[in-house]
Amino acid sequence: MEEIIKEIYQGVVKGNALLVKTKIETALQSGFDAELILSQGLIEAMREVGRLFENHEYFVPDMLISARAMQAGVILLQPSIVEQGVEPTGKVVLGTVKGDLHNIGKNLVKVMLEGNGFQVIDLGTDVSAEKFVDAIQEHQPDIVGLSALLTTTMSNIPSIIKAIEDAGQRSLVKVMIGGAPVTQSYAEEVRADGYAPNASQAVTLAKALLGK
Amino acid sequence: MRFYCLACEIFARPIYSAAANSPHAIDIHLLPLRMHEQPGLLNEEVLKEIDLLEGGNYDAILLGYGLCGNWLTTIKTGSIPLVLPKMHDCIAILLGSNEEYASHLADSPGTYWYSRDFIERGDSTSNFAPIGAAKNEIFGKTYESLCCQYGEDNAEYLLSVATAWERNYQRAVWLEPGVSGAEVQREISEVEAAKRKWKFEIVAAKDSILVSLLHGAWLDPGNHEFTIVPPESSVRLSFDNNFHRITPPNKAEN
Repeated sequence: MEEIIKEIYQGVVKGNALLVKTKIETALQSGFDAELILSQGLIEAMREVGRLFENHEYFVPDMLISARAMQAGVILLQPSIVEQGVEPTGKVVLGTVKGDLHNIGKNLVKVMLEGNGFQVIDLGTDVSAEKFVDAIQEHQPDIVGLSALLTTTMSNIPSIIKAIEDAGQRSLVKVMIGGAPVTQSYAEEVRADGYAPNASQAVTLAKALLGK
Repeated sequence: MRFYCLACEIFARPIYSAAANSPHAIDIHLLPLRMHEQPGLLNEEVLKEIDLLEGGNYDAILLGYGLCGNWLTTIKTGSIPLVLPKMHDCIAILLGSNEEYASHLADSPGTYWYSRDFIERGDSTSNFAPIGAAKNEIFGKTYESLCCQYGEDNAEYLLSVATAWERNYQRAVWLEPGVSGAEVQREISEVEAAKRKWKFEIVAAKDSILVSLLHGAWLDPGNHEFTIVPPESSVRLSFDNNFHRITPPNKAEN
């Protein structure tokens, strides 16, 4: 790997957004391919961050600052990526269900997905079934991610899945769910396509759902 | 009868009061606030207590916990039955009703709840934070320690993430206990609400669920407020209005 790509990679792993921006600017000026910088400098680095988290060497704050560094890099690469027609890994619509305002976990899933090349449409919190259906219609995502942090609001997950079915959209999307009260058993009961206990495994799940 | 009550500190005062007025003899052990935020930890602690009590002279173990997220992965009873309220979490218990809790959530999902025990036994009032995996790690550190570990730029970013939750809340509710003596805590909650520019309301707390638990209302065959887990059985979260799913002895869990 070229030295400057290694430096970008380390900048992401260490959560140094300023270094990442500086090195990417230099790399682009030196003629490095944007897709190469993205895949080897940023996405590979976030993969390493995910591994460190799963090994309990990194924790949530570490993931947040690494994702922030990666996002800073993606913003710089965006014009070149668009010009080259680089496709995202997949498209995900994310939201916390109706009645629930918790968003830290969902936001972490968002940054980790983006850090791994996904395009994410974040509907925010307190999202109704209708809004999910409209978002699927508008954005045509590959995956819909539903988050609930209360046992009182997790019952909205099956309602949203039913609304997606009633709208004739169920076969068009994979549904993954998460949040504190959610479990693998619950995901099977409500016929979601997958469950992830944390943001790092949400990325693994999203890729698996797309066969990647 | 003789009961052992294992409960969250959030219920300290009403539990002590209910125990003092109960017709039954009750021993109480309170576990720290917010244990439900550490996955698996609360489940482990409850299992340890059940093991420690095995062979003891108790007719039932009373659990002063709701579903509280998803702490109850699997609990196995020994020779002593276990009694659990069919309640979502501490707020539902302190309101005395899942339905009233649901009504508040439907009207104002952005409500932050305060109670006497929560303030008396919690962290400093400047350290209140939402439920979430990131909470303890970010709020557990001062700004200075974040700077040391991550640099000033990242520290500012982490604090902005940690405090973003406040923008989702518009209302603070003080759960007024039925007895006097909570004026200081009520005032603290009002000051906190003003600091965050939340609307401040007072709602009467009810101790009915905890009284029923400690007074043995669940012994009534018509009881529908509590799950009674027989000896040598296991219980886990159910995803329906039953709240808990019991697997009897010698049956495989499904």
